Amino acid sequence: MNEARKLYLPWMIILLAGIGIGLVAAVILFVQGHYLFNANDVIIWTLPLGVYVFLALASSGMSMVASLPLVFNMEQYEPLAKRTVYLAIATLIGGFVSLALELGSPLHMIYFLFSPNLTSPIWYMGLLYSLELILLIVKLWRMHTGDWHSTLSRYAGMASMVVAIFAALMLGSVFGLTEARPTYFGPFISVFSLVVALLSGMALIIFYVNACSLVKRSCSQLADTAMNMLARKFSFVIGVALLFYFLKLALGAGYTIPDFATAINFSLILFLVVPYALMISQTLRQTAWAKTVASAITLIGIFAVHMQILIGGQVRPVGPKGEGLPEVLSYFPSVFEILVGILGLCVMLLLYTLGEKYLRLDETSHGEPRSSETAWQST
Amino acid sequence: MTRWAMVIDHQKCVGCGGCIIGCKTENNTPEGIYWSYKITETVGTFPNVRYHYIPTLCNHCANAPCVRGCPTQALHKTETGITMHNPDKCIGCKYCMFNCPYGVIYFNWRKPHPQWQENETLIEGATSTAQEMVSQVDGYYTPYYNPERDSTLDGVRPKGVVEKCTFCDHRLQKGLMPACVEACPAEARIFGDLDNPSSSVSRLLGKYRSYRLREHLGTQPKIYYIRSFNPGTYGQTKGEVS
Repeated sequence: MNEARKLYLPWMIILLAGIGIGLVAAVILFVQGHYLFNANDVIIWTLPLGVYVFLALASSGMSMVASLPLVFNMEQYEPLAKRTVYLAIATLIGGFVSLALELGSPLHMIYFLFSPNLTSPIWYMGLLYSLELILLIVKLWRMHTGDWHSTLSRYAGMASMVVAIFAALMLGSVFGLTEARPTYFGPFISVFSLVVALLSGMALIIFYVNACSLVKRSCSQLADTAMNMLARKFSFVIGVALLFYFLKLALGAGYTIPDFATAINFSLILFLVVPYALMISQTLRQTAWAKTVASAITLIGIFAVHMQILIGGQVRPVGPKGEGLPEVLSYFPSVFEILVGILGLCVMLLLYTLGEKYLRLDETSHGEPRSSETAWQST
Repeated sequence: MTRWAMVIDHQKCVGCGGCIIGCKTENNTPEGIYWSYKITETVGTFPNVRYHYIPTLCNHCANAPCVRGCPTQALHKTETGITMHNPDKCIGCKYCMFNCPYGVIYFNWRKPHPQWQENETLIEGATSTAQEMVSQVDGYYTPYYNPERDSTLDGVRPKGVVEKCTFCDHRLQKGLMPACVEACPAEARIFGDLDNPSSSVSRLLGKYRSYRLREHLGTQPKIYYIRSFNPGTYGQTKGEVS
């Protein structure tokens, strides 16, 4: 605990500095304009949107993980439930921060309510993710007040799981319904988004709990068991994601449309193969370092895959926008894009930290579990 | 019901870019934003080369992906088939740009016409600043600002929203042709009502085989291209096998 206390202040200073710098960048951005991004009329969506996609899908994934104990009555996962729900909220808020700074006129968002377009996948995505946030907050509130299994709590759990699944599918549809861009078009990207959501949600909760117990050294035995069981499911989901990603690359490589040539990168598959190799072994899977390394590599890999898909489908100019430009453009994020990404991440991490400090996230429906240290001492 | 459409005659188009300039002046578009533009292509290997020039603008698709995808209905269809944009409702998500198969929607990445907001003189005491020039002619944003544009849409669109061709709806309301049609010295752009069988566009589309850009996507564009400019001849030949 002393170690945690020692780290708390520098950690908070780092987070608040990140938020401060990010807010300054946001103000400059809205005064000067989004030309400060390395985006243009060809590469339209860049790093801040990639951060949003990554965090929003991870949040959906964590909602799905939380449904294991709360919807499917798998009690062995209960020690992770409250923390997972809280992390899903913090992650989604971090994603919303990044998205808001990607928008040119976020103050006009009021027309989402007053002038909705019921044929727009973006509108449905906005609706579903807003609903998800509300439902997660309701669920957390019920759990925090000790009500885990009332009708309201169960319905909130079920609704948030269903909404999370459809939100991830709809986020994929935003890309999948663009006839103009063959690398995205079709239902595949929606299904891929759902698989990646579950994978990144699992990776984030495994990484977080391991990092947290490393610092706090207060992980309960129950949570340890739950983590080992989750790691087993994690290995299965990495396998499924690996299969889907390989399928996506193979389909892309089979097409003759030139756009696919710039949207394929086989090297990123390593980011899934390595964690899969680590998690498939039962012995390694039980160790904290293997779980931490596997989840960290998965998170980096999934983010890289999101960016590669996002940018790869935009680098070829469409129509007259190609005038005077090369056939394929290149992209590297600007300082402002990086600062927006940092702002989103720091907001998320600040919420994590405050929740960890004040919200008794180890709680289960039977109350707060004994820490491993206490359990060790009592035996 | 009126359904506005345009026929572009490649045989008449000389590629002068008059339509581009006419549009920019009429609609006060900033540098880098082109409601009316072109696609140029060079084909062949020297000396057997050819240059193609395809004038472009919003296709005002009947089945417009930008309208379908816009979350706040900032992009919408009018009764006459024009794809219109309302900057007040635009959240700047840029999904329409992402979704448009024709690359004709632009985003205001910065405050429009920044060069006319500058307050520095080239020669102190001798030349005016850009801002002074604007105010001396009672301009708005630019000295050559066209106030007519303001009647149906913001005269100059603010930063953070997209913008695109409106078929000069403000001119149509007054019984005038779109500015690009008016500006074309070769009368290569022909505008009219598709639902009127005796309109010029209907007659031309009945007379010549036309094509539309990326027609296979099912967007039903309202810009039709006819004929081809080719002054060259070649000697009669069946080709060769060696």
